[in-house]
Amino acid sequence: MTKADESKWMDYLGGEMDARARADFEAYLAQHPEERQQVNALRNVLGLLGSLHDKEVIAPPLPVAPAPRATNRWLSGPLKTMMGMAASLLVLLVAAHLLGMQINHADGRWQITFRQQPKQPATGQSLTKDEVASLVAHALAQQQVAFDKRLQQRDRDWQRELEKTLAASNAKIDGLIKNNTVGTQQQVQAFVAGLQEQNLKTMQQYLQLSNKEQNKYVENLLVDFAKYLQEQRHQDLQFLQARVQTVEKNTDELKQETEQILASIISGGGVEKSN
Amino acid sequence: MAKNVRTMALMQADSLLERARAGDAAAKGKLVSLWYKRIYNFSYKFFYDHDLASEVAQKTFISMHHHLAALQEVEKFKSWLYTIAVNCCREELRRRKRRGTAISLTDLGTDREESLRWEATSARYENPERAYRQVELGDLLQQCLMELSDEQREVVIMKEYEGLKFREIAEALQVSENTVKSRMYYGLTALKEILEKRNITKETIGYD
Repeated sequence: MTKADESKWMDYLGGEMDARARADFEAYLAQHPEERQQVNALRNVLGLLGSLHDKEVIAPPLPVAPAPRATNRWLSGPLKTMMGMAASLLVLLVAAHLLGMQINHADGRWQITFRQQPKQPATGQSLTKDEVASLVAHALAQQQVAFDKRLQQRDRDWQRELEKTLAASNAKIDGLIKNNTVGTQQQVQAFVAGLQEQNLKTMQQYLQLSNKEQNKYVENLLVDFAKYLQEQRHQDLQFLQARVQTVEKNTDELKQETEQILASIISGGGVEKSN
Repeated sequence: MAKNVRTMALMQADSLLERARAGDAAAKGKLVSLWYKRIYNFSYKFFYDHDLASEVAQKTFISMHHHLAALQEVEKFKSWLYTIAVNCCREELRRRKRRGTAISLTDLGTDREESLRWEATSARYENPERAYRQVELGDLLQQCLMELSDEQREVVIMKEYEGLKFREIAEALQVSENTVKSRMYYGLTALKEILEKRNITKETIGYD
């Protein structure tokens, strides 16, 4: 068994062989029963391994801290300590300089001194109580005058500002009222126009309906009148027919009487005889 | 249709990785929930010990959390994650060897009650007798795996149970692909002998 064979066997059993290579290898195995048997034995091992299943687990919450930041190696270990000490020393030196610290060595003694603050020179003059009161009163009066001036100036400023603000507000209100009025007029006009249009439509609909109703009424009236005329005519005809029949009957009777009279006249003597 | 679904899943996975690399904690949490079972089972089969497997899985994901931003090739995430898991396993092995508590088969699988092992499998939902036999067989196979060398066991588990390709295993273990195949070949050959010695065949276990 060479390494190449091992690789080929593993590709075959691991399902990592393409279709053509697989077919070639199976053809080769068909011709070499001994190797086929060995390959099948390993395949059986894989089949048995398939009986070992996964455990069912649920991922627990992991205690994950934020990822550590990349640290500068120059600022770690002993170097970091030395840098810290150097920085502390620097701070001490600066503080000593600012405080004017001096270290002296004399007579075998060390002495640490700090710079003394320069004393304020004394004025040498003193004021009496009345002068001080007068100065205070004068200062207060000046302060009062200045305060009154500032107050008056501020009042004037406020007055101007107020007037300006009022004028601006009035202008804005007028503008708004004007806009509002214009808006209201336009709205009324639009409303009236809409109302008129609606009325017109309603009237048109009413007239159309009214016309239809009138036409229908007139039509019905005409039909009724025609029926009445027809009925009247029918009755008149019946009346006339009855009258005609009566006249005919009378005429016939008169004719018969006339004929009888004539017959009697013609016979002559009969009447005289009968008389 | 299946190709489209696969492409969409891959795109989603890439997006998840990108977000996790950018520091999105939710994306990292999602990655952990997606991969925990795999890493745990890899470690479990390697050690045949729940506590060690849990510890290795936890260490693996903590390491992933700290070093994900440095991952250059997102497409190699899988082998990268298994590299971490393998390193954690090896570190744990070294620690145990230093303490003189190397894992022996007599220690394994004996400190757990039968019921716990039974409940830890999805087989409990099936036919009880068959499922129990399945658990027993699983234990036997696990013991056989433990008789392999560490290197062979890593490769066999990665290939057979984790579904990695030989190339991915080689990347994870940082060895050549031929080395991986060689370890796999000798691992399977050794397993064949171990199984024969224990008289475990498809006939004796009723394997289909």
